[in-house]
Amino acid sequence: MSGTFQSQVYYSDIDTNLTINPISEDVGRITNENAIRRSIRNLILTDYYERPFKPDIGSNIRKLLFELITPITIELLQKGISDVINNYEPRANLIDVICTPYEDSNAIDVTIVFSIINREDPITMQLSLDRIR
Amino acid sequence: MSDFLPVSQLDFTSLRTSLKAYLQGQDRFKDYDFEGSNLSVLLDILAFNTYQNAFYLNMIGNEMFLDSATLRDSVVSHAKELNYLPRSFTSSAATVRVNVAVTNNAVYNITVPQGYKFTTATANKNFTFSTPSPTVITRNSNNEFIKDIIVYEGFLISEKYVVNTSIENQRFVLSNPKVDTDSVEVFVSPDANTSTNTEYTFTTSIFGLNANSTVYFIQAAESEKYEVKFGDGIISKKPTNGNLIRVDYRISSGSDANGLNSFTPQGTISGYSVAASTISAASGGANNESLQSIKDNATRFFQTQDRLVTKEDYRALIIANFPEVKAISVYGGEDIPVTPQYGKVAISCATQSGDLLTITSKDRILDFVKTRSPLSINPIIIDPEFLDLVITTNVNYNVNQTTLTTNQISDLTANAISSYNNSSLTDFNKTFRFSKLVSNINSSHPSIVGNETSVNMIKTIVPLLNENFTFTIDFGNEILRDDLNISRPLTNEFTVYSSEITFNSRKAFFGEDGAGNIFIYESSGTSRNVLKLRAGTVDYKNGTVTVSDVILNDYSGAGISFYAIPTKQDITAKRNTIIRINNQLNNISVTAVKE
Repeated sequence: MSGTFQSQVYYSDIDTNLTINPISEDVGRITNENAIRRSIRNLILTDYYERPFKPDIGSNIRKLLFELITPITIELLQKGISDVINNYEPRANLIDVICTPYEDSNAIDVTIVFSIINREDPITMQLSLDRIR
Repeated sequence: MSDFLPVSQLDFTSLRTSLKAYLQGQDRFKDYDFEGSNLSVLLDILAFNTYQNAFYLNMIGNEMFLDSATLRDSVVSHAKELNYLPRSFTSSAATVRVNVAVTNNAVYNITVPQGYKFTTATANKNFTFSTPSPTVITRNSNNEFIKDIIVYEGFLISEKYVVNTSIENQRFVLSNPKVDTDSVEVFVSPDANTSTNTEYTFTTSIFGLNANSTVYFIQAAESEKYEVKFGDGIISKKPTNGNLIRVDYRISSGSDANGLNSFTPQGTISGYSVAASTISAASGGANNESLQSIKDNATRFFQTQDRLVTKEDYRALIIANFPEVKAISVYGGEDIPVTPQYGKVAISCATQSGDLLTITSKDRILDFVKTRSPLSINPIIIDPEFLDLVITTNVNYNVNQTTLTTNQISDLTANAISSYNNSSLTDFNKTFRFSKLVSNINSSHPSIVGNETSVNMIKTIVPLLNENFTFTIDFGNEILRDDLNISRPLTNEFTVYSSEITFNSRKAFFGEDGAGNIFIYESSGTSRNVLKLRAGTVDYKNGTVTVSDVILNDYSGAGISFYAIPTKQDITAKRNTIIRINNQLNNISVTAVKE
């Protein structure tokens, strides 16, 4: 995805895996679009009350995954994801959230379409939500 | 990038803001402002961790000082540095008259064994009292075996330890936290199979000890327990490997058994039946010392160094060791009015219950004081005297400012007087401040616009009846002297007068003539009829009333109450006098005004 932005670094974050940059031997970083994607992913996968002293950051996805897959659950899921992005990710203009249920494999595919502020081209990111038990 | 992290506040939000401010100095990682970023998660963890550490350090800081420590173990540890032993549970003590019905005429002495039990109960709990040591009763001239014995509440138990020097810092912690430390006795045998033993004695200081001194110390241990400590072989004798240590002590129920006064002996003594009557009810029991009390007393105790020299020493040590004592007044015997007793120290104690000290408690206090006071000082215990005050007040309140009734205003006034009494009086060496009381009454409700208040002093004595009787009442405050004589109208009270007595079989009262004389009179219509002209004297200046050579037939109520009008409205209490407002006698009237 690098290259979508020019070489100018607007946003930069540490890498989730804390990898080491082989040249600078500093902690690796992710930038611009990748940083925003990671941020959205973090927000969606965070539960309420998970972050210390910030109980309202996150979405209720984990709980919804244990519900029956019905149109209402899907609707709630979409709303939860939209809310958390709108509230806590000011860098993303959310365009659409599409949830596709796979009842047989107990999974839901989430496709999030957004654009970065001051840029028009839409970015699509996909996330597969799956119960681990 | 700043070289240091600015930290001024230790709450989570401030710490996180500081970390963010720190990161603003670099441009490699810019996403610290966005909640979803990895960096933000890391900042949360860092801030939370710092916050936890700060909190923990704050708690440790608190526990490091006696003033701010909140854990009992910390407070006890600080007290230990001041050589203060927190008071343990204390058994109630009662005096029981034991009567053993010995039928064998050849027996002259009989021994009540240690641990002989008496049972008693409250409505929902049974208690056992027992004798602390063997007591010998000798046949008296009436061929009876009677003796007054002090018995203590609680169960006697023994705990044994084998000294094992391979254990580093072996401790002898008494397993029950309800131990009464006064009852601890320590015996050391050479080994578990030897029945002979040496009794070790309790000591609080190392003065006069040597390597062969068989003494033990008690110190507070963790979890409200106590432990027995021995010397190190230099300051006093140290038990050696394999020695068997037996610790006998009493487990007490604390204050629960106070006030019990019916004791049933359990079993016979040497085969003879036993009867018991109560001489003084159980008193002096207390639960272990509270945290706040340890904080207060430890420093005072340190100040006294376990010696009774100054007034404050007596106060600190007696209150620390006798939980039943609420307040104390100490003064030299030369200050005792009328009959000074030189070379003595007078101790007057007010109890938690409000009753006078029992004979048992007095004996225990005297025993305690004698071992700690300087030579040639002879302590005596004097019961406190109460100087009752009666408040007469007329309260004016503005009806336009309240919907309260006169009765409710009257209740508020009574409460204001009562609360002044509880907060500022009912203790030794207190002064009744008239203006404070008046101001308390005024501020008891916003509608009260003023009050007209006066105060009278009362002292009550119980006289001997039908025999020549002389007594002195010391009000301790100057008594008002006016120039009116005996024949003043009935509506005009004397400045000293009494409740009703019976003199020469006639209902009568004491009065004063304005010239320093007390007389006895009866009411006859609207005038007074003097029955005895010279019945005593009044010393207005010193506030004493002496009644001499009168024979009284009777009195009404609990005793003769002498009323005196003070010259000054502020009334002081000296020596063993406790000043208090008698709420039942107060005269409160309420007047509604419109302003």
